[in-house]
Amino acid sequence: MANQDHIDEQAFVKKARKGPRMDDNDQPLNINSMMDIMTILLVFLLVSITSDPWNIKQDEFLQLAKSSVDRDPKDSIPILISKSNILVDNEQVIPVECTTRDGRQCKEKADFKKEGNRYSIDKTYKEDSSESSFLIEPLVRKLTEKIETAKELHASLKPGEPFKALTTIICDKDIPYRMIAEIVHTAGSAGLDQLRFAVIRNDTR
Amino acid sequence: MPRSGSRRGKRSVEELGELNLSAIMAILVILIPMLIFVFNFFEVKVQAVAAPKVGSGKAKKKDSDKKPLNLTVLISRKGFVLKQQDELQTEPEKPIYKRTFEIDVEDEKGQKRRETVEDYDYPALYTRLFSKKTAYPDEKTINIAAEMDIPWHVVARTIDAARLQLDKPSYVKLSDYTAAKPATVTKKGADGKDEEQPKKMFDRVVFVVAE
Repeated sequence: MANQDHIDEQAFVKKARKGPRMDDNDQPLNINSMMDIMTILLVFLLVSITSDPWNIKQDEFLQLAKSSVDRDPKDSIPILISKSNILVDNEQVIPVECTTRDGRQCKEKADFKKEGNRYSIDKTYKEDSSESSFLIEPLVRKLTEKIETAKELHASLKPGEPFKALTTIICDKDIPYRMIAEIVHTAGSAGLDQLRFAVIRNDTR
Repeated sequence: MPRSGSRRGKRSVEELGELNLSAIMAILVILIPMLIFVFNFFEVKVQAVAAPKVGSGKAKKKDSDKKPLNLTVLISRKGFVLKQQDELQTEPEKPIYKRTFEIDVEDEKGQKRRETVEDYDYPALYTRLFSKKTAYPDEKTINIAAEMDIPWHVVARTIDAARLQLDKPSYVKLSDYTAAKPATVTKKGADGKDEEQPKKMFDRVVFVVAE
């Protein structure tokens, strides 16, 4: 028994000696496999980001609605309706008025997260400065300009093919139907009758 | 005597040693988290909607013989109201009111609990629209109108209820409806091969503004 203990003790001493000897071996860390992983990850991320036509960032001003729809987005003129602004092709066109439930204007970021807010477009931007009008004048001007540019580009890239005026509306989930109807009417007046609404794909409806 | 090419090559490799990847790694370590921050972890799809046509109202002779259903879903704060061509309506449509549903909610700690919420009765809307489609199988268009303060996410869910046919003709529970899979139909694809495609119900959506 004592002999066995002595052998175990000797083995432990040998192992203990072996440890520091391996550390002494000053080999640089092999990072080749790490590099492989990083390169694959980098290529994947770059391909994914560049294949996304709009690269929508969701924040307190823009939260997309969810839907079980499975139609892929197409190249089109994007209209972004957030809780603070309306943008066409990333260019700001008009601001969105936000009023809280207690009747004051949204100022802080936290105000936009509250439920029961009212979103609208100021009547000064509408046709004849009329509250009841559905035509947003700065938006119709900007859309007409964008359609002309898109037509010229299409004619130079695909001569002979008819031009299809298509727009994608990237809309916050809390935007009221009134504002959507105004934007749809304005887009129709500018010549965009084929509309697509961007949504987040959800397996459940 | 001139040295052979192979010997010279060997020496230059010896001089270079192993490539130092630490600098490239340092760039990658910064670049990858930056790209992950920019990357969207959700899939964006689109819902097609047509703007209402404004015209003289002249229809082709062939179409004038056939009365269009002109099915309209009006979304109000209380629920849904269905309307259709008066001549094709035998009795007035009953409104589909909002009701309470029991749903499973997961809290921040990941624990599930049952909650009672009031929501639009999407299962009943789907059931009603399915019966319309069965009665008028050629109809593809649905008009969607809403009260002016109805938020877009409600309209988007209403379009979802009308677009595709699901595996059952009717639903009562919200959980059964939300988890339902679309019914499929075998069609020839672009490459000539048979493909399983979702069965469409009213896939042409037109936005209208109710007076």
